[in-house]
Amino acid sequence: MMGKRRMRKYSSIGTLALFLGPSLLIIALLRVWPVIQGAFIAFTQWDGIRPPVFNGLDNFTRMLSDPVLLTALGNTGKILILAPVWIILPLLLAAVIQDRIPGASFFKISYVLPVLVSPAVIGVLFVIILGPDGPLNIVLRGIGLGALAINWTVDTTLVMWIVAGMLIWSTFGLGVLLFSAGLASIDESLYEAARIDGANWMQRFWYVTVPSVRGVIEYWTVMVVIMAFSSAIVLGYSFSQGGPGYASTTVDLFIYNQAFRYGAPGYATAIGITLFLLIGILLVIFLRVSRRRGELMFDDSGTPL
Amino acid sequence: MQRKMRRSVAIAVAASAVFGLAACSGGGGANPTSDDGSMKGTIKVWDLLVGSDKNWKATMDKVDAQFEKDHPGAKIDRIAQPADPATIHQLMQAAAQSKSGPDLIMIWAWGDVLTLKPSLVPIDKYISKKERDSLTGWDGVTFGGETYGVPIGLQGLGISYNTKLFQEAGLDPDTPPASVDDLLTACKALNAAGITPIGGGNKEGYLSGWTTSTLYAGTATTKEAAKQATYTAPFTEAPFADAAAGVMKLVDGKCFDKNMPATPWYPDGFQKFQDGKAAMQFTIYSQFGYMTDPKIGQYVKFIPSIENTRTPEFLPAGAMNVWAVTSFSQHKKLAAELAVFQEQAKYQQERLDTAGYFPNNKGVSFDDFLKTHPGAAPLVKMLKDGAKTVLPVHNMQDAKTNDIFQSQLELVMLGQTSLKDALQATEDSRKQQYPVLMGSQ
Repeated sequence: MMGKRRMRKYSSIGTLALFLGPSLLIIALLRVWPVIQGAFIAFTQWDGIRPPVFNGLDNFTRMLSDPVLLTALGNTGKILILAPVWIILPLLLAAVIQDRIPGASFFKISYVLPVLVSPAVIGVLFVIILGPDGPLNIVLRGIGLGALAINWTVDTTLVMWIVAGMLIWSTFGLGVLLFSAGLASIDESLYEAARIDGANWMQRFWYVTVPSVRGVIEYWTVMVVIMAFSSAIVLGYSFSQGGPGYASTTVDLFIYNQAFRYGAPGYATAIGITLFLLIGILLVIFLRVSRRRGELMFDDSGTPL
Repeated sequence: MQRKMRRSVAIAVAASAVFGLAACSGGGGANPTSDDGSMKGTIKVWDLLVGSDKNWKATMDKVDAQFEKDHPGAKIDRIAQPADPATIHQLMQAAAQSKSGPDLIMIWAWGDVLTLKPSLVPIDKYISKKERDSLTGWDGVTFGGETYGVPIGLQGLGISYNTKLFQEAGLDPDTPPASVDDLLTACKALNAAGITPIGGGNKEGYLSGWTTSTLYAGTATTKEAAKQATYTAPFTEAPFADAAAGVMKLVDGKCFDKNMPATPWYPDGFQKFQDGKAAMQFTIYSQFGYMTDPKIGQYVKFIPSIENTRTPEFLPAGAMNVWAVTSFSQHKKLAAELAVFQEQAKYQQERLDTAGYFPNNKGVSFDDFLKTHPGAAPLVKMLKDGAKTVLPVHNMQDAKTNDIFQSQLELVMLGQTSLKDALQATEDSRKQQYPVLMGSQ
């Protein structure tokens, strides 16, 4: 009934189609169609030039026994292990800045600056900083810690953690910005009430700040997961080219190599689609759990419990 | 009013459907034809050097002007493309899908020709015997008895050395190392004199490829190298395995800087040699600019080949790049004619004299070049004497296998894996890639 009334308001389906049609068509052509085509290509052997040949589930079974892919997934997993830091650190920094510490604007700009720099430039900069005779090793040798002045860029146990650290460092400023915007909208009276109740800074942070910016945390977490799977490629490539060996090959770099360097776009698409589904499932679970926890933390009026 | 609206919607839907169908009709891959195409119109050329080298551009501008003059109605649109194989592959994939794009493309010999072969057209019928005989380097463009491109210039590998530093280490600068054993002896003397024997960096694994290719020419017979080019020779066996073992001999013999594995190849890898602090450097022919460097130029000489397990039968050198005609070109014959036209002796001569691009045209004179690059004399003499050239072995690997070999050898240098395992990983990749690359899949 309601629907009919709304429809009448727009006079006809034709008008609706006229206004929505072009946008829907663009979305269908540029978003939906590539996904459908990608899903088809995932079931083919294709070099990107000759017509694709249907090969059933071959690409998917190959994934299970590809040691390099498993290494790449492990490396991306290392980035995900650091996700809690990646999520909480910007929130903590934004909260500290929000407390109007001296030079707050300076800090805010400093955190955001790396976001503005190209990941390729950051990768190359870190090659210089962490080079055999780079500034870090010079400082270490200068303060008598020469034993720690190692070849950072080719240390197979460290290199992936360095790439993960670079990724977090280069993006957490964005999180600081988002959280700062979220914190600015919190009603100051909540903090005053907490102070009157004798809550210290950490308690105010945990019981007032965190619940109040729950939506931003959820958004930033989704961003972090997406970035973990898709943003390490440029940094990792410019810093270590995925090496030594496969020590810093992340799953996005692996997919890129398969698709554009090794002539296997079909296999690359199969991995991409599997990851897309995996990330989607993970995020749905996360958002559901997060919502449920949120419901337990707020009363019906939206006040933190 | 409503009828008008319905009509507008219907037109919009129909237009969208036509647009959608047009967008989707690109799939299905390339379909080579035997049509020579029109001898008039615009030839689109993808050139990897025209955007980055003003000397190259200056010569190619002359090429274009002369070709257009000789072929009334033909026009050349030379488009600068990045010299990155992955980007070229992406662009060619898109062009092959839409069956439109360049007529003539500059790519790399062997691996890229094989990878892009389905979107290229054989050009044998467009090349005369005289034209073919005037150039070398056809081994990197000929597969299954068909020629898929015109070789551009000559790119090879060898060792540049600094005679002054050799003298300082008590070595005879006029008798440079001729074998791996000689190199090891020289390394010992140079290390004793506090001089880094061989400069370079292997952070990205490039040094692994260059060094192996240089030593492979002193390991394989011409026949074995020809088999390697068919991609049927196992990487775990001689001669390839012996060449890789030779590389590790140099590493174990402390011929390289201790920071070599962590030093980036470009530009840091070359810095020590350029600063006159490293006595030797694996170099390619297009790096003979060292010989005009005011600091070290007068001391730099070039060793064209090194014996590893046998006296070298050939130089590790082949086509620097390749001009290939696309299967979707509407001007195949004209594009092939342009490809051969721009590799004429006079244009290669100009490219050698102005920018140091080594020629593969037998009609080019080295006289002026040698006046400014006397250190290249041993190589030029060998070429004039008719020395055979075979594409460097790391160029005769597909991109994936090459990546695996270079990065695995890097791990061997770092002590993270054994040479046997590294070669096995390379061989596993070759076996996997062979049917894809050779078109049996």
